[in-house]
Amino acid sequence: MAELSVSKLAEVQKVTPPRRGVPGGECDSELIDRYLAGNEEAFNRLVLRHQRRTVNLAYRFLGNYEDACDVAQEAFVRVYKSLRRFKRDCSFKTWLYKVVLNLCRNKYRWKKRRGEFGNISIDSGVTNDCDGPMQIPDDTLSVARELRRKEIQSRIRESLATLPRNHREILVLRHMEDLSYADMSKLLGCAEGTIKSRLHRARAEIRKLLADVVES
Amino acid sequence: MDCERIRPFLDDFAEGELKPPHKQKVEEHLKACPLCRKELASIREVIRLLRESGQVEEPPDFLQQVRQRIERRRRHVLGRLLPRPVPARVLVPVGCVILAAFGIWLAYRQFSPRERMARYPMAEDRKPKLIARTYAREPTAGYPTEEAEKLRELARASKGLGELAPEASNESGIVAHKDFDGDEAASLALADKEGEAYHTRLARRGYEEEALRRLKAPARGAAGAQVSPPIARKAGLAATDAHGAERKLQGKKAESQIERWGAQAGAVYVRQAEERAELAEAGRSVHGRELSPREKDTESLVSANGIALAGADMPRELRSAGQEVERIPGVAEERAKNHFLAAMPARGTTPEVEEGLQNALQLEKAHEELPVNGIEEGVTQPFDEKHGKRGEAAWFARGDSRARMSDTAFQEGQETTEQDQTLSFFNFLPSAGRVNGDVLLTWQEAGGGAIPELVLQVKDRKKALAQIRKIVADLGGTVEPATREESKYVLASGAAYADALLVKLKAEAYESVLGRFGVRARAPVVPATKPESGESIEGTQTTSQRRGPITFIIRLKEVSEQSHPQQSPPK
Repeated sequence: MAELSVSKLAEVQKVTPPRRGVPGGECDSELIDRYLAGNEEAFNRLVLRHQRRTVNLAYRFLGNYEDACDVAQEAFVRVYKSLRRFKRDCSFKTWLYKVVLNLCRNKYRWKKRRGEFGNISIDSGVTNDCDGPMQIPDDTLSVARELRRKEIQSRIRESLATLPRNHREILVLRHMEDLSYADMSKLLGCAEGTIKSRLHRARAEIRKLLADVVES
Repeated sequence: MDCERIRPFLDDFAEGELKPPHKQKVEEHLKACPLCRKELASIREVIRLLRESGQVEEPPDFLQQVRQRIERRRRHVLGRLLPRPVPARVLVPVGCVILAAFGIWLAYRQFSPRERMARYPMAEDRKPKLIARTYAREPTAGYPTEEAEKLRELARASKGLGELAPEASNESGIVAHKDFDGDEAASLALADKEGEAYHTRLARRGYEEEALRRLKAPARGAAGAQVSPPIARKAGLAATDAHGAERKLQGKKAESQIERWGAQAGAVYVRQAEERAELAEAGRSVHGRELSPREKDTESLVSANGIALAGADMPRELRSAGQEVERIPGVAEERAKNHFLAAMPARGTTPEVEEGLQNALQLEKAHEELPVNGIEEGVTQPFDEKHGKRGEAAWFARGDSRARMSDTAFQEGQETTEQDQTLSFFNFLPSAGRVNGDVLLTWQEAGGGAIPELVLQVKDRKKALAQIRKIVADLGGTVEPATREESKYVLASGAAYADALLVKLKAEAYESVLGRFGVRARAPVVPATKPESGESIEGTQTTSQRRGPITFIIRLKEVSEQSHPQQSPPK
């Protein structure tokens, strides 16, 4: 995964570099404490740290890059407003994921009510246009393989899009976000046994949809 | 192991989550089965594809956009807090209309006779007189002329709102009907004359309270406290005697409470049943145990029935349990509760749950229209919010620990408990903690003595021992072999082997022990006192109504045939 360079960060987000004596590797908890003490820059760092995974999580749920960015930004606004109420009974990442998940569900329901899509909308293939999402290329692959990889990613996105919402969420959280069953249980509000059972069915469904990809 | 039974485990195996001994079994099977190996490879490939599906980049100005949103949100909130100016041409007419409507409403409240009457609580003695006065002003159509004239006379003699002149305060002076006193007369007049709204309001609030007030009044003569037929009728009472009326009134309140519990508990049960169904589909029990094909079918059936049965059926089950209550003084409550416990096996109970269940059962009994004879003072308790809340907690607690079953299974369960079949449907519930039919033959609860005794005749002593230890341990108690000193009783003839176990646990858990054995207390153990008066009552208090730790003996007798144990009096 390509990393954004520090200079690009400073240019785009206008973030001042860390002061001397203040380590750049603070954990989320420390940043939250600094923010609650009145340090706005600590919040900026939290955003920078989690922005990519937030956008990706929302994109995997919704299948639309614009909606994903909208939801991810809104999630951080909610976090900004309610960080004081964060009880720290789970990691900040899990809490943030919960906010994103709820916003994605709201967005999904809202769009469905408006008839904007039958299931969810899919970005038409991978593109490097400025309107679509910028895929992070794997520089180790040849061009042909890179194209093949993008094809597969597109098929995965399409297959995920056809799954029921709860199956899609479970697959994304477990295999793409690599969450443990315990974290998923907290996020989704159901027992681990239920999650395993749904995951089993979700995998069976997506295996059918990706049968040709798996075979090849 | 065949492929069908291996397949449910392949997902966990692919993720490296499968634990022994299943893991070894799967590995062994995979060595010999190319189909399952292919299936496993397919699962792993899908997982790999999902994991390596890549990421997208966030917009380069993401943080700026977040900050702009935050700023916009701030401005928006501030703007809404500031009042907006309202044009006068809108404000003035709207304000006038509002003020006028308010004035009309105030006037109505102040001057309407019916509204004035409604403000007076029924319990006040003045109310019926006020009613009489009010109706004296109006034609009492449908009312006997003589009585109507009396009412009018009373009204003329009244000196103020709600007051009667001294000469008219004689009760017999305001009797509208020879059988009723003044309160009832007025009530009847109201019922006949008044519109539905006030009548309903009074019936709901006033008649019931009035009837209860009369029931609690000192007894009049040999008949005891009575509720006259018209009052009883207006209050919706089916019976006119004290007990029947009180029960009915309690039952009406209890019914709504039970319905509410049913709806709330139903939501919990549906969720539990759905989870159970999903696990059954995956070949797992709720505890993660692998299910046999037969168990899997049963689990699916039980949980499917549970989903269907939950919610609105909850009150029906309560009533089914309540219908089995035998109306015998002193033991009705115990039998009802044991029956209820037998119908609803729990994997674990606490004293609070047991108490809540007891309260729930008492309320259910209040719902029944029981005959006067055989109802014992003190057995039922009046309904109050505290009992209702505890009962509610009990239901939620049991909903978390209890499995749901179909009506058929419920009936079968009752029959198997009584007919002593080898396999009852309770066996399908893992760790239900019951002594099932192939172990327990008969039981007897011995009364009196320093140490109470529960005598179990069993077919298989070892199985019974193991189950008893588990049941008592689940309830937080201990089991030790009783010494010779502690077990002095003569064994019944026909017993091949006898064990005497000294069991120590909390008194509140005693009934749970009985419930797990599927037994019903036949005889109370310790005399008790009536809570209000302090006098002893006919009938006794059971072990569970005591508090603190208790010790009792369980005697196991292994017999080849069913026999009735003989009980020797304690020393």
